[in-house]
Amino acid sequence: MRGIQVTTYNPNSPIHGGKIRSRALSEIFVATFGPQIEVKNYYIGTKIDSLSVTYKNLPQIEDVLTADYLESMALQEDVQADYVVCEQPWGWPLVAFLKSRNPKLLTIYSSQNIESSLKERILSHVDSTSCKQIITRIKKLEIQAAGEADLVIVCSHSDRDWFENNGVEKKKIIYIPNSTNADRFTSTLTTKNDDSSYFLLASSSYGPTNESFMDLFAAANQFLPPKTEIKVVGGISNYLATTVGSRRATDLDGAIHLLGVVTDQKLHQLLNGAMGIILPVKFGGGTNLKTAEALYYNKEIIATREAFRGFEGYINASNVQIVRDTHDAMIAVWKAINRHRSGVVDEGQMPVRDELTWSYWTETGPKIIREALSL
Amino acid sequence: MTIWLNVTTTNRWNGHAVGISRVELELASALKERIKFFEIRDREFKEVAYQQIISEKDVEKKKYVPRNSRLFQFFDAQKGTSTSWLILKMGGIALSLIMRVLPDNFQESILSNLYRVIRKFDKQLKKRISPIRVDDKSAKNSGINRIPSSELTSVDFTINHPFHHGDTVVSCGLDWDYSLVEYVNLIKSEIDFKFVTWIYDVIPVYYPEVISSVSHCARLFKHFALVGGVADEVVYISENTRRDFEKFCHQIGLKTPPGRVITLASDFEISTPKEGETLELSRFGIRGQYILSVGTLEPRKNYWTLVNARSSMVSDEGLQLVIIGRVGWSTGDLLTYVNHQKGKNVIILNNITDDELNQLYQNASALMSASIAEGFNLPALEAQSAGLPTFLSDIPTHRELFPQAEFIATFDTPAWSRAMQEVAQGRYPKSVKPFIGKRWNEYADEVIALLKM
Repeated sequence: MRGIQVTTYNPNSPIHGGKIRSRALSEIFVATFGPQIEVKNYYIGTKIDSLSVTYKNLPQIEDVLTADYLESMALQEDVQADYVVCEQPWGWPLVAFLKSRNPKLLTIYSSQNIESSLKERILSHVDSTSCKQIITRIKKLEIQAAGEADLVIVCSHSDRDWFENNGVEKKKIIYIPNSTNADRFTSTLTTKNDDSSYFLLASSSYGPTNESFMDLFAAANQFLPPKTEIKVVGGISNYLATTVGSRRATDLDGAIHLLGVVTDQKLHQLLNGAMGIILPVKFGGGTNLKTAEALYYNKEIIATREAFRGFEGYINASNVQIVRDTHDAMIAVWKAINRHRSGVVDEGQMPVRDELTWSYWTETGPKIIREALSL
Repeated sequence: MTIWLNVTTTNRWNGHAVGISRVELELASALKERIKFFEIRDREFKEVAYQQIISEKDVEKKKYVPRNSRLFQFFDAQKGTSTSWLILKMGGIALSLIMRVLPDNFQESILSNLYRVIRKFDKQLKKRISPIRVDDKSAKNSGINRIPSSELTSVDFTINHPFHHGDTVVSCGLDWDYSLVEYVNLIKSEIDFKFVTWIYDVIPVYYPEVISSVSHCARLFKHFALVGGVADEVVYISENTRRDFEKFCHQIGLKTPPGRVITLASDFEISTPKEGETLELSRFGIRGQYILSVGTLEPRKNYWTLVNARSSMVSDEGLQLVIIGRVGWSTGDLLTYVNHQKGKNVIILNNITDDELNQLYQNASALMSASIAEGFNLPALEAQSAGLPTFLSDIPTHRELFPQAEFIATFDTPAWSRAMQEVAQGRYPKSVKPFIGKRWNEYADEVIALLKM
């Protein structure tokens, strides 16, 4: 079968959760339908500014406005596809157009999160009537996509609930959570250093996450014990590099070690060697890939409750501490350190969580998809 | 085998010894023949002779400056500003120096006139002065010279110290301000000695909202966590503090080190007012009947509840609320209020000597403390030692240590107001049987027993 994947993301060299999921789902579809799948990245980004009139003053809505132009971008070869996967609601007008030309087209809405809720939170500080209009439009597209699709894939149980509550047929919704590729790296990792005394923060630079980290750890240099630090990888390093030294971050300098963007190999080495992993997600849709990685490595996890969206079943694990503020973070850090020092934590004795890997879902996903589509 | 007492806090303390500095000073005095002393200076533990410790006499040598003056309160109220505050503060310092060489009767007269002049410019000044920010001002106001925070983070170096295998190192000061436990931990990795330390309260952990800054809370949190892992014996000042610390250790996955409770002491005694004391009290702005409240001016002490209670008394009996305490943090509004009502209902005093404090206790009608949280509340003990009716907020520490007191819900302003009214009407006479509390020499004896000396 020949398929196309309509996505906001360019799947080449994926470095953040959305792109990684997009790439991983592509592999699952290959395993399900065969190797012919083409990614259609029709996101036109900032070029939309010159096209937008109605919503000109709203920030971060270029993706939504893409919807208006997708139809004109459809190629004749797209119409001839056997199946189409759409990952964001603003891609659905293109799918609907293709379906109108090709009634046999199999349509899949592979949701990355509830986009209307996410956009509502992102734009919460914007006081504009057009803001409500745009959110209403996304929600309408989102419900339309899930309602019309032959199959809906969600990444969390709460997202499944949202679709069901909005009238989407229960039996066509399947759950494939965000997962990790850690199992592809573990065999190449070096032996863990027993003196490791760092917590790892791996995140892209996303405003709410940056803020959440500062809320929790801005005073880290005052409460971390000697010779303990927070290693930071990913885009959030850039944010922290410009924040350290500011009045708010006076007590952060000295506690963090910024490593910037690192290779996957290096990232997994750092994950493997860490005493604990910090997941300061404040809000966002879908599920957090870094949570899957932290759980897979059986590290001490210091996380916000939001970071466990989609992984609620693990929230009461002994190595997980949910934090809301600096006070909680201080307790969690010291508890993790003391557990680590006292040898309470034996990562080798912790359960192996294969279900957190993309390998597991690439293996089991095709059967689930075929069953849901009655193929 | 030597017993060492850390006197860093005492040696860095600028003002009159109160609270934690008082405990350290009393112990140093009581144990001076039996132990050695050390202080932390320039990242080194140095032995110091007893004579090098700032003594009470040294403090008393400092000439009394009437800090109750509205002018000084005005200066204090301007804290948190930049240039304007600096100019005012420097003016205040210069004025203090001038006051020291002038006779007492001239001081208040000069200050009052100067205050009137400055008040004329008050409105113009206020336009240029930003509101007080909640910040880590406690660093500036706690009375000790702090080590820069940059020095607190790294202990990756050799520390010189006078300790030997088998020694006992005792510390009961403001240890978190100079990272004592981090250093001790490092030294303990080299030699085996016993480390005994004090936990006065765990308020920064369980009541962070009453601490000056997140930064300060975090520093204290680390101190407590290190104590839990490093101390061989912990001395608590109340059972409630012990329970809180045990809870804290449990929360962070530590086994609580062995410890015992040694409650604080007081040497205050009731005595009949001496002739001429009314005149002395007028020096503080006190006109007649008054209620005392003692402790640093900070949100934890909840002075606003008492001030509001005094303001809302049904009938004005001329009763004054006299607050004695250093200016801590987040006090701008309180000081401004006190400035505006010109000492009618509320007076704030600072830098009071022991004799003056004793006199103020003896002449007061009652002590009131509406604290949100306390590790002990030494003023309550002092007040009871002086036979004063004592009204305390209904918190576990107060219930444990002062069961004879009258308890009032912490934020129940009308109830505090009613109590003030009743005090003013003489319904709470002073105790004819003075409270028999623990004396400082008895306190020292308990510490001696603990140290098996």
